[in-house]
Amino acid sequence: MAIKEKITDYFEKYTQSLNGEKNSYLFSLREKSIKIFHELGIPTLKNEEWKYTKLNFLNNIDFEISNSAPHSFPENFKISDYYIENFEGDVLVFINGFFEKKYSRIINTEENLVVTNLNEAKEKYSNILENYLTKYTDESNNPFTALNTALANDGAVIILPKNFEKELPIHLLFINIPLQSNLITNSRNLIIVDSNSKAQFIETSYSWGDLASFHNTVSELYLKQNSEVEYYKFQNDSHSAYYIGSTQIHQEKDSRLFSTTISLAGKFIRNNLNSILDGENSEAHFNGLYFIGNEDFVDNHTLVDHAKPHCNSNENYKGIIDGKATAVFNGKIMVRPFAQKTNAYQSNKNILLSEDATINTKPQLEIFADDVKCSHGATSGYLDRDAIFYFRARGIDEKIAQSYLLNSFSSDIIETVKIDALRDLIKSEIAKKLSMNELYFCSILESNKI
Amino acid sequence: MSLLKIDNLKVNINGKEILKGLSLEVNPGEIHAIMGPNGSGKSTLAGVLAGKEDYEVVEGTIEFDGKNIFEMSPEDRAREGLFLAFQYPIEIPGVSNASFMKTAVNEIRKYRNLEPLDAMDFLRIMREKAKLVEMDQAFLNRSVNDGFSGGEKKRNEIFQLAMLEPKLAILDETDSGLDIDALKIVANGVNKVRNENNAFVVITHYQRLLNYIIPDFVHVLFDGKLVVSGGKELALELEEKGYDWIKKQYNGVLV
Repeated sequence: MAIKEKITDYFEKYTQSLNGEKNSYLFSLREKSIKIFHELGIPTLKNEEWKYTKLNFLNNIDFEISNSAPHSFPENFKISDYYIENFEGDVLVFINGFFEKKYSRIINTEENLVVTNLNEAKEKYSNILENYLTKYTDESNNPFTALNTALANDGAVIILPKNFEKELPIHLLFINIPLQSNLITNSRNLIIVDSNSKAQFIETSYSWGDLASFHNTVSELYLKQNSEVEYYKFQNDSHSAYYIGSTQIHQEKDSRLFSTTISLAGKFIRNNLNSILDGENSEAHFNGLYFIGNEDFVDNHTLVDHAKPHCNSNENYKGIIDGKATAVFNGKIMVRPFAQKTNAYQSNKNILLSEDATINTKPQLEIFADDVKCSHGATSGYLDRDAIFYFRARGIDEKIAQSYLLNSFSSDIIETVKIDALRDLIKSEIAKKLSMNELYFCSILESNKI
Repeated sequence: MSLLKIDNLKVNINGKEILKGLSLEVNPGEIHAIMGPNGSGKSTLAGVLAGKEDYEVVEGTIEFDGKNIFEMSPEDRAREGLFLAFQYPIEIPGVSNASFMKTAVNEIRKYRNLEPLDAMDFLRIMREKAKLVEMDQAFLNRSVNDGFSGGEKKRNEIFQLAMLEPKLAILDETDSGLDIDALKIVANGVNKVRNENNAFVVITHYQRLLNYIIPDFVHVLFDGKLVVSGGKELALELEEKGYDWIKKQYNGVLV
């Protein structure tokens, strides 16, 4: 059966299994969304938003939809492999899409702070879910968002009260363990950061074993007035991992968003990162680094929507593509008619390490205001031969020279990660890719260590 | 045994003959100046010695310290003690001078079966050598040549030379683009590094640098060959008379 019919069928059965929940608001959203999914279907390459992104794995692989967490873990599965070493903060673990309290760690228990999961929140915070879920997401034109809403198993619900300034790093950890069949999970996260509060979030998804996993994730982030959020995605998954993740951000006045997406491995990755700058003086910083090889595929689609005047956006994505890997970058900047005095900057630089590597990069500017400053630039090319020769002429072999050049190319993006434990993990994983003992960073601080 | 022995070297670039039978012998302790008009093949000679890929060696041999240079990769030539001071040093943003030199020194030491220098020793040596070219501490933390002025770049080349202590250094138009103060600093650096065991080949268009780095031999490279050799007075003669008499005398005769 084709994936579309399979999902529609599944939803029918799921509906039949429900009792009282059918009257809930969430269920009405689900019903609406499954209809949209059915209408939209799986996008083809003719769809401009999916032009370079082949989705045939969805029909080529026989997926089942996850409906429960496994009763026990396989023998060679160690949950500790997936935690971030030395990470100090809350960890919310979801296995096959379902919250696992036993493996989670919630240390922040302040009054009015909510750190929980969607299934818990359904009853306790139903009014909040009603007010926020799907408010700004792209249900109507993205079938995967619609699919997620229709079938979301679980996810994180985090609500920070006003004036919560304590640094609060939270790691959302999604692990799929397909045991009998290839698996689809739909995780839905809702994060609300109230006025004058600060928070840090990390999202990671992993796929265990050789059966295929398809993570279809949607995160909604609400930044109230003068709040500040750091939002990190770190992707270092297996050859059996398929991932489509959409993050929809809504920013009020004076809010600040710092996002960094690091993609190092995964069979198929599509990241949608959208922010609406919906209050004056808000700012969004999108940083990204994809460093992939083999036959991996990474697609970053970003959208900064300048809806109000006097907002700043700054986007810097870099790519290193090796082997037969393919990367896609599509950066859209929208400046609405009243969004005067907008500053929007975008850059996408790529280095190809092999002749079989591919990059498709496209800036997309839609500017409807006249008093704005927008700039964008995209480059792609091979490593500078003259620079490599300069290293060699000093007794340094080509491999090390290449590592140095890639290290320095990527360092400004890595430095945007402000959580030490995460940055250390990223550095050590990149060092492994570069066959270096450790990464070198050109700053005075680091030079003292030489 | 001579340190460098070039015999009847013929080199093409993109099928065009650039060096047409060049021979040169350099012994430890000697400074050779190679002068010549633009397009005579000076930089090609430097590039071939260092192992740049764009050249096609058609004929001839180069022995460095008794070894066939064409069997060595550029990095191995450097590890064997050959150094090229670039005419146009490359900018490498994001890699500090200190890190670059530490890697270079230790790669060379590894090749020679020596233990890597520890951080303290390395730092001490680096500070010492930086003083030779009057560069301060901050410069060591800056990215290699990134945003350096022309003079700073050339001083950095001589600093690297001092760090790597090569047996043979080729200075490719190190004087180009330097004002007189920078020129003196660069020349001073070279004079402090020179000793009876190492040698220099100073490639230059002008005689100016040779006022400060006194050569034992001066050769004129013209149309791909060394056409005249002499002592340091030959440089003065060229300065006075220009290259025209060379062109007149050797055009048609040797081509």
